[in-house]
Amino acid sequence: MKHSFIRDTLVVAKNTFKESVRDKVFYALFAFAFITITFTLFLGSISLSEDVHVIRSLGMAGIYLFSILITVFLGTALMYKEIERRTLYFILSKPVTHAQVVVGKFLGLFASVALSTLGMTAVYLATVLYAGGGFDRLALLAVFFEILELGLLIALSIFFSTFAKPLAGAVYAILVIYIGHSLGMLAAVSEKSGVLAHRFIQVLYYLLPNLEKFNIRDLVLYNQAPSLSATLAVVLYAAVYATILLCGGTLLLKRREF
Amino acid sequence: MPEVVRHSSTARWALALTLLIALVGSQVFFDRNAPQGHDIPLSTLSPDVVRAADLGLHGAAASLLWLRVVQNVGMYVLQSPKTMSSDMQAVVELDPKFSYPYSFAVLMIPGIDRSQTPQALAIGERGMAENLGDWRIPYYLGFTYHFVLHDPKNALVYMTQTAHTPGVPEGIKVSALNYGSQTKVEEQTREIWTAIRDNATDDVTRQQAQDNLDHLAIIDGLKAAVAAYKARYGTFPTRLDALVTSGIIPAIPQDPFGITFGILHDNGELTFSLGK
Amino acid sequence: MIEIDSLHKQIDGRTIVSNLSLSIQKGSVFGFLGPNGAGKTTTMKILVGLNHPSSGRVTIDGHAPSETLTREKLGFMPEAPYFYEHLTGLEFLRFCGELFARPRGEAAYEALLRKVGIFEAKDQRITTYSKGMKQRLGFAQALVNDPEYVFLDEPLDGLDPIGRRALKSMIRELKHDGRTVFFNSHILFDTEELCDEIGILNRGSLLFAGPLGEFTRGLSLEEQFVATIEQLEVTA
Repeated sequence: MKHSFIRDTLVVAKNTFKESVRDKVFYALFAFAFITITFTLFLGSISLSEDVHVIRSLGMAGIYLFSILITVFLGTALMYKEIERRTLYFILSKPVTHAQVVVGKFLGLFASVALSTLGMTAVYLATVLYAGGGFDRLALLAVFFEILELGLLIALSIFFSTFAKPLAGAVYAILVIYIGHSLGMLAAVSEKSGVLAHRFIQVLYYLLPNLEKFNIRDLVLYNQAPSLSATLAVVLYAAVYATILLCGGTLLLKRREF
Repeated sequence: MPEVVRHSSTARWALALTLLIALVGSQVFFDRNAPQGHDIPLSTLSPDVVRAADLGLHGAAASLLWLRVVQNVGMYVLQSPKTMSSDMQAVVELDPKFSYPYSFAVLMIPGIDRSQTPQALAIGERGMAENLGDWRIPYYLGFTYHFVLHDPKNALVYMTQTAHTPGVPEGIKVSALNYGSQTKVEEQTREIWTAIRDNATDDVTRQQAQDNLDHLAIIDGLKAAVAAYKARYGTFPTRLDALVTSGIIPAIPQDPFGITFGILHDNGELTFSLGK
Repeated sequence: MIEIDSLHKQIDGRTIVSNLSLSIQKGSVFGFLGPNGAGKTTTMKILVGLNHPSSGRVTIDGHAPSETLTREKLGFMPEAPYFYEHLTGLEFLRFCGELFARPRGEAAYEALLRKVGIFEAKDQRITTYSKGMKQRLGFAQALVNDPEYVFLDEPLDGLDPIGRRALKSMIRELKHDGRTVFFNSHILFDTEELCDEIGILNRGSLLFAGPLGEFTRGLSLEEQFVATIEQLEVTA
């Protein structure tokens, strides 16, 4: 058998997947998500017969918030744990490259986060169906966009975790998530500010991840879907951004002294 | 030695119990001394702030605010009728495509605080501009022009739009098309409230319509009784109680809005006042 | 053959290893000895490709360990290893094995676990392992690819007498099979029986390298070692 980049990467990915889906945090958050999503049934019942609307808007928001939490918790601790606990020694002393480790970690965590998101989505779909909203096909599209965003955030968390401690990494990640969702507003503010500030904000606007691109929940809520070209642009954006972050993470890991 | 162990375990239990009592006690003490009720108006956050902080989950934020508003309709009436319009404004600003809040605001706000009618109409207008295809928005707008502002001309405009909204229920369509055909304003009002009641999808609206219908029925009953009194005694009663003592009606009915009725002796006109 | 040629390593401006040159013949057991903080672990990390030299050259059979293919024939057991807590012993070994070009398969992993004496615990999560069991698992993963060169960082640390004896006999077996073993140790009294050659490192500098007998000259390794270090401290 020969070495291939993909095979070795998948071995790392499989290991990461197993390790993360067996983490208690994973199940605790999933349980909370389950409770939250089913609780929307009650909220729907006190909404003056806007049940389905309330369940869909809050349910999709619940899936998003919990998957963000899972991503940030698991993602920022991922590399740090490997380095701090020296488990990375096992991997890097074997015929594996830094890039394979980073990409493998990414894929493994991405798989477990995507799995939990799909699990929550199943709970959500059942809840909407039970409330009489039928099979919410479009929510699947919203979840697809969300998983793209989560992929980007996992890459971001891994990038941070190659140099920051988990808590600091989590804080950075949450900051980027907040800024990433208000870039549009930031751009609007910059229109009114001076030339220098305007340029500065413009630079930020193009460099920071624009996470609102992945938010089609309010569109889906009114049974609309983004165009195919918009969807492709978003997929490309996520792929390019994650690639840049993973390359950066690999570089930082390579330069690290163990 | 065992004696000492027993002692310390008893002491430990006593300490645990004391702490537990202190915990519950301080909570009770706090609640006793806390300001009663919710004095602060519900809307404390501007929609802009919420928009900036909700991670793009505007629809969910609007849903939560909507739940808060509809759970507190009674509290608005009692404590801060002025804030209902700004809260509803926030809901529709966060989620402009959420249609029910527009019509709900138009129907409910003037009933809670008549001075907020312009704000209610503005919310309804905004809903019309969003073009959501919800018959309730033009219908309730038309009704508000008719019932609150006594403006049949504008009412007719919205009633016509209601009738042309796709998917409008048959009863509503008939009522909207018939607008203006009733010669008596009260009859017109009664007909619309009946249509609203019969097509309501939620209990708050249904109750609101029923209360108004009951209110109108009570006024009609009292007017009839006053007329009967006049016919029997040749003069109007000085007090409404006379209708009961003279055996014309068994009792003065309870008004759903808590209105106390009176009467002018000179011309038999009914007077209305809130409270006793 | 392992060759270290004028190796220099600085971390954050501090010199950890200076001007280290060594060559270790294939098939020998080399004990790399020295007090704590002498730079033994840093040297070993460079030998297995975890860190890079600041200057100088390190090669194994003529190739740098930073090249992926070189590491195909290395085994490395870190000092006091930590593990993925949620994996079982067998899963961990399988994971390590699959990172090589020619994974040896389930039977080999189980045989390895049997050999290091933790076969019964193969399906338990590693969190439940004792310190000694973890040490044994660390040893097993270093042998998962049937390596030609085995690097062991403080392999006897934290083991009870029975564990030490078992591990020493396994090292002897490796030598018997023609493997090259390079191990770090700061414990001397029972390591001398293992080594063909030793290197003594103090504060990043090599004090001695050569056959064991040349260094001890009739004394025990520990006595000679302490005497050498103390003499050095006096002259310094």
